Amino acid sequence: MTGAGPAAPPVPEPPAGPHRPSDTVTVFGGAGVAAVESDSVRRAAGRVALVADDLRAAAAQCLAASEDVVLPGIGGAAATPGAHWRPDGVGSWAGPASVLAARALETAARNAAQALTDRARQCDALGWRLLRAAGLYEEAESTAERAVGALVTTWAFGTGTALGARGWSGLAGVGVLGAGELAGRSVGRTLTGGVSSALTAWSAAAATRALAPYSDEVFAGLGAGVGLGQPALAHGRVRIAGGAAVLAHVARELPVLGNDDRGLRVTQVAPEDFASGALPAWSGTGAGSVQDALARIDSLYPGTGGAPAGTVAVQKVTGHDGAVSWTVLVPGTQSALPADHPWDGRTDLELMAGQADGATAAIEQALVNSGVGPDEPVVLVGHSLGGIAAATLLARPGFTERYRVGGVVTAGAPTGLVATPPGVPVLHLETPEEVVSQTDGRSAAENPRTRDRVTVVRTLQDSISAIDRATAGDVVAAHALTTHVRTLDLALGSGDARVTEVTERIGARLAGATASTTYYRAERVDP
Amino acid sequence: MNGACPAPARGGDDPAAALAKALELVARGTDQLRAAMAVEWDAPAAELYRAAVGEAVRGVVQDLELLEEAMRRAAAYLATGATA
Repeated sequence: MTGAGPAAPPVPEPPAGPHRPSDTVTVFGGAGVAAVESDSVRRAAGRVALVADDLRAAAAQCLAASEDVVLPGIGGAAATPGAHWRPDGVGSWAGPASVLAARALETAARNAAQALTDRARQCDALGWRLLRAAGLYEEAESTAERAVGALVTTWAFGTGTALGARGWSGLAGVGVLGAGELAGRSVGRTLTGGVSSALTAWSAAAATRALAPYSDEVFAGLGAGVGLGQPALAHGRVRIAGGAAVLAHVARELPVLGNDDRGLRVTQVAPEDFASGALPAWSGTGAGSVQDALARIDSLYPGTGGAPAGTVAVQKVTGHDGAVSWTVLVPGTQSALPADHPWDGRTDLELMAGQADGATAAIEQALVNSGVGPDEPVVLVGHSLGGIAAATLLARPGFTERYRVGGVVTAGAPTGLVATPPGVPVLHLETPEEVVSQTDGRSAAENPRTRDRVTVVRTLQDSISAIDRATAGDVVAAHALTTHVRTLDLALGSGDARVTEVTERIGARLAGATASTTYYRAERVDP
Repeated sequence: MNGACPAPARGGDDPAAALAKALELVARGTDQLRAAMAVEWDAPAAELYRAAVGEAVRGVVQDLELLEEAMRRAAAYLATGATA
């Protein structure tokens, strides 16, 4: 008698990859199930794990049965006379009828074994999915991933320090390399020297897939190294924020390419300012869901939506009861190099460095111009740079005193360094293959986890879906809004309690009886 | 263990006995699976889980048919041996 309590129910193992798309989604943070429910969930998952064990044991018996069959003239079992049971029981071979029966038995037993093995996997997956959906499965980076990540950080730190120590030429090199990389991927594959061969595409895709899990370590090391190489410009900070501060300085002061304009002009966008000559079709309708709100941001990019560069949307929604709420849609970077609007690489760096930036200033001005009241909930939805800006505003002292923030949604945005206040539902959507969301040096697992703050990450390369696997090798596609909308669809489809809860809290603010949308364009100007 | 095909159990050199043991294990598993459907959680994930367990139970019933087929084959095999 040891006095120990009842044994803990077994924990189902995750299914072996590649996974069905919904199984490639991992959720961090949020409110899981209540304690009383979690016991029941764990018991149920434990039961199916035991079923899986029984089914595997049954499959092993079937395989044993198939191996007990002796087939004359065949190697293996038949080659060891006396080692196996024989139908005649005395060691002499049976006739042709026995051979046929033996073969039929062997086939039937193997078929049963295969079916039971597959069923055991299915049962394991059922329990694993249940625990995950309830927030009771502890997701962890493998030891190998952590070890490689540490090496990558060290290497990137050394590279960043070397570049930072080279002064302007090195820092400009970092900037140009980064800008060139982003621009090259954004503008298209034609920048590969006109020889956009299958080999180039394949190697880029393979590199993206291979390096995606370690991109957070690359940026953490590089940022820290650059910050250490230029301590004055980094203001003594040696982590990502320090490196970003150094590079933001470069973006402002770089000869010819830099832009140090400190002023900002925010103007209302007219229908004729859009390439189509009309406002987006959804302008008069509230978003039906968080996914809908996210998808609408595509209308704010010059390329996909024909909007003027640096445009944000502010939608006013009035409910049947007259209650007013607001949704602000914020697109991402539209120029890797410093531009005449704040949706550029300079703002990305300023946001990462925690410095004053044009994007959050433009959003605040748009809120003022729209007449948002202090008690009217505002939901901020941002993609990429827009996501960083949205999270930054929420964290900025005084913002939540001026505005009642009803929720923040970010897609493909590095927000791990931003501390958001409690009580405001925050949803982050990320994928490692997009790289961008890891430029804060944090993987999705390392984002702050609170009851109100949920990060949903989808590892595209682990999916059985051909579309997902192709997207995994394409940074632009992995970063696209459609990819993040699909991630949220899959997470909600799995019934994950944490995603459902945060999405419902935010989604309740989006729809209403009537809606009207105003578009604002921000431009950098000399003060 | 998960994801891999199990190693054959140590046989008693009698395929019928091994299959009978498999049948016993699957029957127990089926009962456990039905019991596992009961989860006190009012949430979409629990609904999905119950539906998926129901589907798994139906799948195990099909697996049982394969197992019974194997047992019939074992009986036929034994019969040929007995008459050889």
